[in-house]
Amino acid sequence: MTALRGLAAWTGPVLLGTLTTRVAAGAPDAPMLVLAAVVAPLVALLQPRVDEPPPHLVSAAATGVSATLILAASFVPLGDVAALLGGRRWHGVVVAAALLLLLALMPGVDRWRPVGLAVGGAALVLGLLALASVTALSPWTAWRDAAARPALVFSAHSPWVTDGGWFARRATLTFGEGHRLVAVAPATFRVVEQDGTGDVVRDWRLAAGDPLSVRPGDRVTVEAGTRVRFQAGKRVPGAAPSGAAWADAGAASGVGSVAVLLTLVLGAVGLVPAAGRRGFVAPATLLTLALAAACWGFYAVATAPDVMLSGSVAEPLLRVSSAVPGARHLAPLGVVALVALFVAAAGALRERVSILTGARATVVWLTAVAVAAVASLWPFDPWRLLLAGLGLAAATLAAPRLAGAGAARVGGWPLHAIGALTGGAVFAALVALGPRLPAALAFAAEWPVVLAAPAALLVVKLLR
Amino acid sequence: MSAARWRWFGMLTLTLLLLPLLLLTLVPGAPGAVRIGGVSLAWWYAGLVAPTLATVLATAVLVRSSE
Repeated sequence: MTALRGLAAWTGPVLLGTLTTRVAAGAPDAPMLVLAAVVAPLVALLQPRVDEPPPHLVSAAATGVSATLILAASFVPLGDVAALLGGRRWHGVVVAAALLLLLALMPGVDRWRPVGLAVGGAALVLGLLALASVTALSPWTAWRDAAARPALVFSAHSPWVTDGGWFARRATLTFGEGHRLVAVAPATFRVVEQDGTGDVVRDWRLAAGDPLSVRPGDRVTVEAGTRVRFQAGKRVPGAAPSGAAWADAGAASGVGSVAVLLTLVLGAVGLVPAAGRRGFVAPATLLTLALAAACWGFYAVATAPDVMLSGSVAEPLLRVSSAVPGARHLAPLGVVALVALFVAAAGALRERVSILTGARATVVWLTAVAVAAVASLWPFDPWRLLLAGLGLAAATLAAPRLAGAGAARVGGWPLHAIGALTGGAVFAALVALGPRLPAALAFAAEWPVVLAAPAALLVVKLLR
Repeated sequence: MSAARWRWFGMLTLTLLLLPLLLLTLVPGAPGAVRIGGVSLAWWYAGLVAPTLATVLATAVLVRSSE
């Protein structure tokens, strides 16, 4: 497996889309995520090259479950794309699953995986260059302009204002000022109004063209698929109140930041194979993709801060171009980028699964695709799904490898399988026990990798 | 130094590149929010300096360990 082919598992649509949306939302952990997105897979590429131990059922199962979780996360943005374009979520998921099934049945298609990564990356970068050209803003000027905005408001050119946008998933919007929404298609809106000391809940069934007036402090819940128009010049609900507030996002959570770093770095080690002699292109490719995703976030805030309103990680890549006069024809580039990166990532995951499952690789892979596609129809947060897959890979694959399990055996069992079993068992136990854990271990329920990976590492070290 | 040792050195150094940002975002007083040339220190580090250093370092280690 070349470094670029292995890297494709990392640069999937969820990771890059999350970087863009976190940057655009001004999340406190956004700079950390961008840096970790570059550093984590580089650590994985540099891991010493060792002969892979013979496949074992436990490691194969751990790889299969991790890959399925990551694949399910990757299906979600494609379902969102269908919803954001006015279709149904399942349309996007079915098309994406059919594409993977078709590719799985075509011989020799693995050779072309770097092409998918190149096409997706090129679309991402081309779109960015076009945005920079049309807006005449360099990425750092876009950041400065975004930070200087007195308020993050709906642009007059935004699709949410001109044609009306679709919500990809159920969302609750909190309004900081009065606003007049217009239902583009018939829909029900749940409005929670603050009335003295209590809340008053009202359900409004609106026909196409009906307005809904909300007051400051109102919370409006909209269902997935609802199509709404907002007023230009009004503050974007849920966005930072001003550019300065966006730029100075505040302090990130200490435990959360360390846990995410641990998950990303060890997850990458479990997922991305060591680079060989000709792996020099991979680091530069990675740098380009991660920084391009972050820069999309800068341009989103500078030009159209409403593009993360729908709650989808795919939205900025689809809608920033549409909201910038002169760049509307570039909108398809976002779709091309998401689909190509999805295909490349799925191909890399398939290769990881195939190495460990041998002759049954195709059956195992098709099962993983089917399970992941069905799971992605639930309204999961794709970032949490991705972290779950990476966390499991960290505890079951990376930790035993870093502990030096190699091909050693104990009691007839491969040491890497014992490590994987330990890491997987601790991970599953923490997830299952979740709310019943004592308060001091609450962080472990949210971030099981924090205990599961050290447990696997310790067991392997002790048994070596 | 053997190829494996170079790789371990690279892995450790890359991981250490994350620490300054962790400190910038967690330390009270938000030193990461200090603006340099209009852009915050945290973003200069996370969006330019550290990723570039990491990429150069990883490429150098890959070249060195393949000789």
